[in-house]
Amino acid sequence: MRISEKEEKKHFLQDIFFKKGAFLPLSLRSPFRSFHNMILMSFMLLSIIIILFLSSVLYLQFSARLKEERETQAEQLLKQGGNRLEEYLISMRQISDAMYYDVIKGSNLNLLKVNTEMNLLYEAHKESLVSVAIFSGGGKLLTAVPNSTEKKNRKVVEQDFFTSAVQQVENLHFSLPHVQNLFDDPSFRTHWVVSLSRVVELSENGASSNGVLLVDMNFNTIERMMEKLNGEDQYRYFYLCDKKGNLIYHPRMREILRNDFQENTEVLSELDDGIHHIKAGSNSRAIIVDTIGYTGWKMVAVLEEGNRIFASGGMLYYVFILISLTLLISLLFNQLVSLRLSYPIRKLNEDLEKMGERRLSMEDIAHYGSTEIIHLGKTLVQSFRQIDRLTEEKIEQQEEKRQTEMDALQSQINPHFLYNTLESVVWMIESGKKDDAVFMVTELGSFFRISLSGGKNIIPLSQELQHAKNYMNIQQIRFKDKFKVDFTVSEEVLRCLTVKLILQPILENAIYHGMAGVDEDGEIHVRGEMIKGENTSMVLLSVEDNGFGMTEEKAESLLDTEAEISDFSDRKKRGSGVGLINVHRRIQLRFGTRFGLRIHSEPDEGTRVEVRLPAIEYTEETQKSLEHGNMHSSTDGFHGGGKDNEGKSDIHGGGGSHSDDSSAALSGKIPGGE
Amino acid sequence: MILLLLSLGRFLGENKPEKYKISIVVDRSSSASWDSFRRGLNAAVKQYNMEYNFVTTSRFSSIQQEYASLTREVKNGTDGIITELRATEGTGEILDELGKQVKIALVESERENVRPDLFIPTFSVDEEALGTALGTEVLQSSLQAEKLSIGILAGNQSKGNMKKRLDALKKVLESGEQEIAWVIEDRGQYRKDLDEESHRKSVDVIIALDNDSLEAAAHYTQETGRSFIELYGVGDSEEVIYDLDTGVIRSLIVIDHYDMAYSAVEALWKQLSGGQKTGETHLVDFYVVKAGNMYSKKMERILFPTD
Repeated sequence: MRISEKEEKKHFLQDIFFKKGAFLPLSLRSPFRSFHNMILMSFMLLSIIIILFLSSVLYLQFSARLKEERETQAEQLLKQGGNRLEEYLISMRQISDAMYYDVIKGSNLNLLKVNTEMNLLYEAHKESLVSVAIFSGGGKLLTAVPNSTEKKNRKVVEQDFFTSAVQQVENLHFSLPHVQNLFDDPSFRTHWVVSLSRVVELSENGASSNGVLLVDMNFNTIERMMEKLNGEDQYRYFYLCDKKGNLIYHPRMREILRNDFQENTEVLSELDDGIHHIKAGSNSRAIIVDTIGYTGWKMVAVLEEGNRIFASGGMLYYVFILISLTLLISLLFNQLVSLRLSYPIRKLNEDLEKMGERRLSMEDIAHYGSTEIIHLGKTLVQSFRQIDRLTEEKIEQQEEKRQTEMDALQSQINPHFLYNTLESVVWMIESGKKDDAVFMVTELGSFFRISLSGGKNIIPLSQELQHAKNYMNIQQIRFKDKFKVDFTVSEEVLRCLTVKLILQPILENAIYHGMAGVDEDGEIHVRGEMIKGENTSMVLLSVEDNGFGMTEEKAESLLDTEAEISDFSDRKKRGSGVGLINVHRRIQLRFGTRFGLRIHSEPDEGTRVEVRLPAIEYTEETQKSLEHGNMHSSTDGFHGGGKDNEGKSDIHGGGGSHSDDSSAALSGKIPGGE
Repeated sequence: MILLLLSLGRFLGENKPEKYKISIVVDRSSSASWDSFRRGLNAAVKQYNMEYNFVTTSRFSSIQQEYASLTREVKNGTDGIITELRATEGTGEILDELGKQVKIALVESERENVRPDLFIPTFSVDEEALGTALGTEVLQSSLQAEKLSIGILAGNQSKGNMKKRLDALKKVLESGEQEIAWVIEDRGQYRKDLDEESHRKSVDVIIALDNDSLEAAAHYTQETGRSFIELYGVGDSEEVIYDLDTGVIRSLIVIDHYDMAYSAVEALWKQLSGGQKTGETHLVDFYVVKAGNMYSKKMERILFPTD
C-alpha cells in the first residue's frame, strides 16, 4: 500500500539525518563522480565565488569610503590644530607688539619701568612664556624677566634669534625650538622655547638705537597642542616644520635623530595646502598640508594608506568569524540542498540494486523527488517487468520449440506408418514385385534419414522437398496411385533453408482429408517460388489438392491450438500424429509470426495450404546460426505475401529449370535424394 | 574547525590582561641619575599601554637586600621586573629563582650564568668603549702637564660592568703614563672619602664613573674652592649637565638611559604579549659631551628630552 506523502517526507528526513552515513554520503572511491558531491561542490564553489565577490566589492567600497573619511577627518583636525597654533602664535606676537609699541617705542628707555611692564605682561602669560628680554644692538642684556642673570660666556650676537632679527629688521622672527641657554637657573631647570625676536628702536636720552626684543615662548604649549592632535591613531600622525622643512615638532623626533626613522620634509616645498597622495617605495601615504599664516610654518598630517579596517585585532577576529560563519552556514545549506536533490537518485540507485535480489513493485520505488526522478523510477520498474515478461516468453517459446520439434521427430518414428509401409513391402515381396519393394524400402530409408537429418532441425529446402517426395512416393504406392502429385519448385527456393518436416504433415492432411472420397482423379500440387519484397525475399510453398475442401471456418480452425489437441489421437492412428498447427508453430517459433501456414479452402473446390518462409540461402554458417536460434537478417523487413496470396491462385515459381524438376516429380522417381 | 579556532583564539586573547604591570627596582631610586631613565620609561609604557611601579629604594647594602625587594614585587603580582643588579656575584641563583615566576630585564648590570631555559635580556653600554672614551678625554686635558695626578671615583665595583669600565679607563690612563693617585669605591660616603684621599694626595683631575659620584665630586670642588681640579665623568642628571654648561665639568660621558629604559620596557612587553624570547645583551649608545657641543641639535634632544 502506498504510504502518504507526509510519511514519505518523514522517512526522507529520517534517512537524511539519522541514517548512518546519510548526511555525508561522500563516495571516497570516486569523490568527484558522486552526484551528491558534484552538486555540493558546484554549490560551494558558487557560494564561495559569490561570497568572495560580494566581500571584495563591499571591502573595496568600505575601504574607499573609510579612506575618504579618514582623510577628511584628518584634514579637519589639521585645520583646527593649525588655527589653534596660529591663534597662539598671534597671541605671542601680540605680546611682542604690546611690549614694543606700548612700552618701548617712543618713550625714553627707563629700564625700571620697562622691567615692571615686562613683568606684568609676563605674569599675565607666564604659562605660555619662559622669558622676555631686551638686548642692545651689541648683544648686551638690558633687561629681562623673570630671570636676568645671564650665563657666562654666552655670545648673544652669534645666537640665532639675534642674527635673524638684525638681518631682517622689519619682520618678526620665529626660531626653531631649542633649549634656552641665556639665563642661569641654579635650580638646574631647562626650558625648550621658540624664540620670537624683532629689532626694536630704543630711545635713550634722545638718542635712538636698535636693540632686539626677545620673547621666549614655552615650547611645551606647542608640544601639548601637537600631542593632543596626534592622539592614539598609530596610522596617522601630525608634525610641524618651518618653511625650509626643518622639523619643529615630530612625534618620532628621537627616532629621527637616531636615524631610525626618516621623514621626507623636502617634498613639502613642492606641495600646496591640501591632500596629496605620495608613493614611498612599496608604501603609499596621504599627506595633508596646512600652512600656518605669517610664520610660514607647515602643519602636516601623514596617513599611512592601505587597509586599516583591520587595524584592531578585535575587528580582524570578527571579520574572520563572520566569514567562517557565513561559509559554515553556506556549507550546511548547500549540503541540505544537494542532499535534497541527490537523495531521490541515490535512493533510486539503492532500490535498483535490490532489484537484482528481488523484484520490487511500483510502491516499493521511492516516490520522493522530482517528477522526472519519479518517472524514471517507474519507467525502470516497467522496463524490468517487460524484461521479465520477455524473458518468460522467450523461455516458453524455447520450451515450445523444443517440444514441438520433439513431437515432430517422434511422429516420424510412429510405428503405424512404419508398419503399414513395411506391410506393403512384404506384400510386394510376396507378390514378386522385388523392384517395387526395393523402391519402397529405399524411399523409406531416405524418408527416415531426412527425418533425422543428423539431429538438425534446419535443413535445405531441397532435402525437405526430397523428404516430401519420399513420403508421397510411399503413399502413392500404398494408395495404389489413387492420386497424382507433382512438385514445381524453383531452383532458388531449393537453395533456401527451412525447418524440417513441414511439407510431409501438410501432404498427409491433403491425402487423408483432401483425397478421401476422391476416386483416382485426385491431384496434389506442390509448388515453391520466391516472392521478392522491398528489402528482402520470401519463400512461398503451397500444397494444393482438388479434394472436397472445407468451409472457411473449418480452415481457420485447423490452426487452432485446442482443435489440435482433440485431433491428436485420431492423427496418431493415421500414422503421423503431427498436425498442421505443429508445423505452423515451429515455423513461427523459428522465424517469427509473419511466417507460417495459411489455409485456403472452399467446399468442393479443394484446399490450398501455403507455407511462408524467409528466404535464407543455405550455407553452413546460416544453418548453424538458425540451429542456435538466431534469426537471419533477411527475415526482417519483408512485407510481401499477405493479401496477394489469398484465394486459390496458382503460384508458379522459377524458370525453365524448375519445370524440369517438376516433370521428374510426376514420374514418381525423384532424382537426387539428400 | 576554523570557527572553533578563531573563537578559541579570541577567547584566549580576551583573557589576556588589558594592561601589563611592571616594577622597576634599582639602587637609589630617587637619584637624579635615573631622571632620563624615567622619561624613557614614561614614553615606553605610554606606547605599549603598560603600567609601572618605580619602587622607592635607598642604597642596597647587598644583593640579598635587593633580592628581598624583588621578591616582594613578585608577591605583589607584578608581570615583569626591570632591575639594576647591585652586584654580579650571587646573581645566578637569584635570577634562576625569580625567572621561574616573572619576566625580567636587566639594565646596567652584569649577571652570572642562568638556566638555559631562562631568557633574561640585558641593556647596558659598551663598558670598554666608554672607559676608553673617558680616558681619552682626560688625556686631552688642557692642563698640559706631562703627568697628571688623577683620582678616580669608581662607583659600585661589586658590579662587573663597573669593573670593566674602570679597567678600560685605567688602561688608557696608564698607557698615557698618567698617575692614578687613588681610586675610591662607593661606600655611601663619597664626601668623606674625597676629603681623606685629597688630604693624603692632591690630584689634578677627578674622574667619576657614575652620576652620583660625579655630582659629589662637583660639590666637593666647589665647596672646597678646588675649582682648579678638572672633572670628568659619566652622568646625565640636570645638575651635571648644568655643571658641564657652567664649566665645572670639563667633559661628560652621557649614556642614553632614555633608550635603555624604552628598550627594556619594549623587551618585557614582547615577552609578556607574544612570548618572544631573547636573552641577549643589547648595547645602548653613549655620547661624549662638552660645553661646545651640548647645545647642538642632536645633543639638545639627548640631554634635554622634552617628554
